[in-house]
Amino acid sequence: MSQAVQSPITTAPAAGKPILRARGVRKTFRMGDSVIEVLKQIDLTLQPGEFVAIEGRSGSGKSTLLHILAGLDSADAGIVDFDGSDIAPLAAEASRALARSRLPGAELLRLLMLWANAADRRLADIRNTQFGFVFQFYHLLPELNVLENTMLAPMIQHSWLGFRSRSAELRERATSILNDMGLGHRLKHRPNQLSGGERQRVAIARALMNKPKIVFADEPTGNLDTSSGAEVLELFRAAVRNLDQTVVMVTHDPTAASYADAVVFLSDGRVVATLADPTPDGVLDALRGQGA
Amino acid sequence: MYKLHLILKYLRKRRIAWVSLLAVTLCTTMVIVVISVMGGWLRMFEQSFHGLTGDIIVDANSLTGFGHYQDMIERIEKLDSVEAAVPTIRTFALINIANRKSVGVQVMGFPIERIGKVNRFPQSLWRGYNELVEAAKKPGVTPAERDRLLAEAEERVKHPSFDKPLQPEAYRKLTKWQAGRSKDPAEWPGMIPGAGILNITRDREGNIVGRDEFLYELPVKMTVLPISPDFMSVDMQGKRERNYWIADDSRTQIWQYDSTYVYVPFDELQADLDMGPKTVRDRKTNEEIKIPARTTDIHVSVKPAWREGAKLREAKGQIQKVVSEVLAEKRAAGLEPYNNLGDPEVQTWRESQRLWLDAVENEKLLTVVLFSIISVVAIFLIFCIFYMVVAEKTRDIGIIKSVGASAGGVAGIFLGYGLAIGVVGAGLGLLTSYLIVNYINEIHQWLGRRMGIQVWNPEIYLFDKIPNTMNPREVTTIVAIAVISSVLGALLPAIKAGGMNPVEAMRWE
Repeated sequence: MSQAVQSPITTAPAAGKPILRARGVRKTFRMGDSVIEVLKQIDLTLQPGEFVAIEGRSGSGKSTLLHILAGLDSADAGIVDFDGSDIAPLAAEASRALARSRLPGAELLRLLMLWANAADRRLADIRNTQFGFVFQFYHLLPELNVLENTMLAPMIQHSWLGFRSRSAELRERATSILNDMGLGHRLKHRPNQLSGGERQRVAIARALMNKPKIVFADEPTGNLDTSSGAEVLELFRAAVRNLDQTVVMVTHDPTAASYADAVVFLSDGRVVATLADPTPDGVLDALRGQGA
Repeated sequence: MYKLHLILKYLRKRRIAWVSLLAVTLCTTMVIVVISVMGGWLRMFEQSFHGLTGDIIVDANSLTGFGHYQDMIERIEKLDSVEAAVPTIRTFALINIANRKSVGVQVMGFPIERIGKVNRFPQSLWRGYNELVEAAKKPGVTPAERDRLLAEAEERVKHPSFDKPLQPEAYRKLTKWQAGRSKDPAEWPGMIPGAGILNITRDREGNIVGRDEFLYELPVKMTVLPISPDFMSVDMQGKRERNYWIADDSRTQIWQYDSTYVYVPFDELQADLDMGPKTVRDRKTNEEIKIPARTTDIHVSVKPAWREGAKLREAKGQIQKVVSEVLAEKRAAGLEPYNNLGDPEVQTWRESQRLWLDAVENEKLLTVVLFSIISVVAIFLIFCIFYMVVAEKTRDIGIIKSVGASAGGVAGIFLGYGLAIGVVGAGLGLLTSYLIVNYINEIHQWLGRRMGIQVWNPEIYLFDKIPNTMNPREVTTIVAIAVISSVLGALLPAIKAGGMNPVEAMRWE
């Protein structure tokens, strides 16, 4: 029953307060003398408990959009309203603070600025407590074992004393999530001792550990075989179904996109279509319709 | 929490950082060992130099000497701050030891029965002290015997003398003396040469070699040149020769002294140098001039409460005042015939020996500076290794940031990592240097035995042992500098890590 819609550009059912709302988001990259406009006036609304896939060709700007929505990158213009507050200015200010100082010998000053930058800290706190991330290349820390990787977010969230006082509870939660992911027997293993599918499941466990409001996934099945990819996507579906988890997933795979509640199609920096209740064929048709 | 966790993980797992750790350890060890040995050497030098002088010295700064020293001593000894004052004469001489060795030496003459009141010269004597101390150290000596020997040494050191070890008849036999033809050799005074002059040294194991019994059978002829009566020149025509017997030898532990000094009775040297009281006629006016007895130095020991800092300087001021007053009074009374000599200089023991002490202190400073420059290399090493680690960990930095670490937090990981390397490296360096400094003599002996390497030649330094005391303040400073250096080395890489854009970092290949 999938249906491709050309416009208006929203995935949102009419009712309920959106958890994430992007309005007029623009992003350009400078490459030498030329300026490339990657995102042109993106509008997007996401409801709590919704699983949205962002589809598009390579270079369509889908990963950049995900990074901006998640506060990992800043937009040149527009608002990104997360749970009632605009995080776009925070991202812009943090980005300016991170930019290399042109003053010679100003490195110490820069360190102090990095430390004192409230926008960066606020944004880091949002990423830590409100968002979860899953990436194509798993991005686990090689020195930490499965359990430690899973507990990375609470480790960052709490002070040494705070973590110690909640250590048992957090360990129990991490173990429980890993058991649900079928990794109960791998707690002490390091990432290099795991298969690709297992690593991605650890990454999902890490993303869910702090009970985030939104999980952002960037090509989570891009590096996996079909069966492992299906397992990972089932885990996302289960999180949405059982935990009412909101998930935003960037993918170029129509099958992967079909696991979502809705698909947003990006082309040339614009949202060109949305598709509710997608099937693989429906997604493929929609892509063909855009000349992909 | 994650910072500490990651720092400990990186410390254990990143082996490249162990190179920085090793560099910090080695640099800390090197600087602590050098400073401890050089500092110990300096302290030993100070003690040894101080042992040879009074706390304060009234110095003529001239071979001519100064007069009225008895009056000065009498008044100086009445000062509250002063324990004792003893005159000494210093000059140069040629000595001929039994026609076997002729050598130029510096001569010091003093009343030996009083010298122990102002310095530790008696403790440098072999017969007068160390013979018994060395005997007490020998293996197989029972505790009771050792106590007896040490008690006897302490008793003997209270009565140092130029007394000769052999019977009068033995000296007469040695010189085949015939009564009436020359002065009785049994009446020749005793002389105490420095151990270096008699070729008494220490071998590689630190054992004393070269002291033979026939030493005391050797006559020594000493030739000195007196100063002319008008104090203007040395009287080349009036050389004085006197025969002595070796009565003992002195080992002050300072090579410069032990290889160049001989010690003789004050009265004999004063007479030979024509420094006793006398009456002369002025060459121009033919008037009779009374010249007082002269000496070149007065060594003064002050009471324990006056031996350091401002109190010592205050005592020095009091003595300077006494010296000036005595000379002023004598000049006013016409008892100081030659006014062209200037007043003797009053110095503390440190000021009088500053030529040597400054040299050693400068040597210490230079060594510390050189080793510190080497340590700066360690900072660069840490910087380079951390830059490599940050580059290698770029993707991890992106991950940590995406999971919620702030820029300051990420920078904190690497600064903390540098701090940890500094603390562990400096700690290991402290431990290693403690072991080296503590066992430096054993290590030195082992090197000497196994490889024939002798870094510290006792022939030159004449120290029984390499100085091995660690100064807590110096050690704390070095450890603190090592830790700060490590953090500084990590600073720029940490800032680079903190300033990374998470998206770019995760894309880094």
